[in-house]
Amino acid sequence: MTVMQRTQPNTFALSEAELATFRAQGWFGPFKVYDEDEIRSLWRRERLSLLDRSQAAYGEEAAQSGNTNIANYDRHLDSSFLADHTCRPEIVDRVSSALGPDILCWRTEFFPKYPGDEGTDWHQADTFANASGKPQIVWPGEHREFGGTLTVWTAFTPADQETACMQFIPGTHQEMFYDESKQMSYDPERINATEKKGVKRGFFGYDYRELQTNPDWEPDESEAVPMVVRPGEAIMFWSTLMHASFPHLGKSDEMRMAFASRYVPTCVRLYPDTDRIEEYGGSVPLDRYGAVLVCGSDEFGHNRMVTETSRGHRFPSR
Amino acid sequence: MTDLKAPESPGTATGRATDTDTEQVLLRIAGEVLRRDDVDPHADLFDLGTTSLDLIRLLVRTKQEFGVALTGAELGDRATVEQLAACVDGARRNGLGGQTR
Repeated sequence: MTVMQRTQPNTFALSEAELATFRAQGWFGPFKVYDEDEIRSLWRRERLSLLDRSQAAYGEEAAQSGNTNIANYDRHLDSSFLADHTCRPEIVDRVSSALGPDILCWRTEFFPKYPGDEGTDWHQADTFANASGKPQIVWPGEHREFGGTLTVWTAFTPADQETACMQFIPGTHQEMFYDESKQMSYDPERINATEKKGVKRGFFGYDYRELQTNPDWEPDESEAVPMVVRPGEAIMFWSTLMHASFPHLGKSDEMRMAFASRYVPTCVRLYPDTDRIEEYGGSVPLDRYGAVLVCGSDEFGHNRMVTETSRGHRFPSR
Repeated sequence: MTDLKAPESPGTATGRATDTDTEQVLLRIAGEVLRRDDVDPHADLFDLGTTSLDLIRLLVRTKQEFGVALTGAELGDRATVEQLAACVDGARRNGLGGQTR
């Protein structure tokens, strides 16, 4: 069990008014994490460093196929830059003001959209059993009504309606329209091949509509809000909020890169009853995985934790 | 892939420290990997729409051709064929490369 005391003030905590808006609509932001010039410079270097997967938590078995999302998972466990990013006060203080004092980061993911790539399907995630069939996060019984994770989606490049920015439907985070206990079928041939209501969309080889509790239901896209962001800006949102992304229309050659970090309180159990991740066409063991306590203390000891990256860089927890 | 430690990137703001033969070979390889015949040695490969997987393939082909294993980090912040050629030449001058094919 790791016990850490908060050593720094909660500088970037949401105000009461901001919290009220966040609770009503399901997201907060965009907010600045980096200056634009700063992140452009950092990303230009980091994107080359990341080609070295020798210390990555999920090795060659994850990187074999370009269709395997798992290759994009948890690079904060080997990259110093990404490790520091997950612990940025601009992020952690905001997450903590919404979720409480004891927070861990359980997953990070890159979300690249190359010119011509499809948009991401409308979806919600509660336990993240959607693709693998096995819950990846489980809230304790007394908090079961919460569910989901707080995701902080940071833009490393610009994102607008032509370059695959996200879309949200406000206020939808309190009700699930999808049943993650249903099965989705995986077919990488679907990628970039399907239009839904006139928009090229998919879910990384899956069709998220297969999880709808009502197969005949359609999300009300007239309520959707585009989340245009500049490099260095981030958005914090509940994974249970209805969200999607526009396609990358390919009018520019610059790909869109976003990096998502996912946070839950320490009471949440991670990957219960499994020692592998099997989804999106890939399968990797969790033997090099650990969650990161980004602030507060862990009184539960449910989960395997790490305090430094595989390269010995200490996570700068708050 | 990372069985050799490459030297510091020798890229400079003025003048060129590359063997043009290396650059020409790498331009050919880059064209094959990226499936285009207009790769500019000074162009940022990511700006040309290159994916991370493509870059890894380029580094693998570089190792096959020159016997120099690079991780990508040696390129610093310049993902160009010119920079790659400079890294290859630097490694070979330091005795870290094998025979060319």
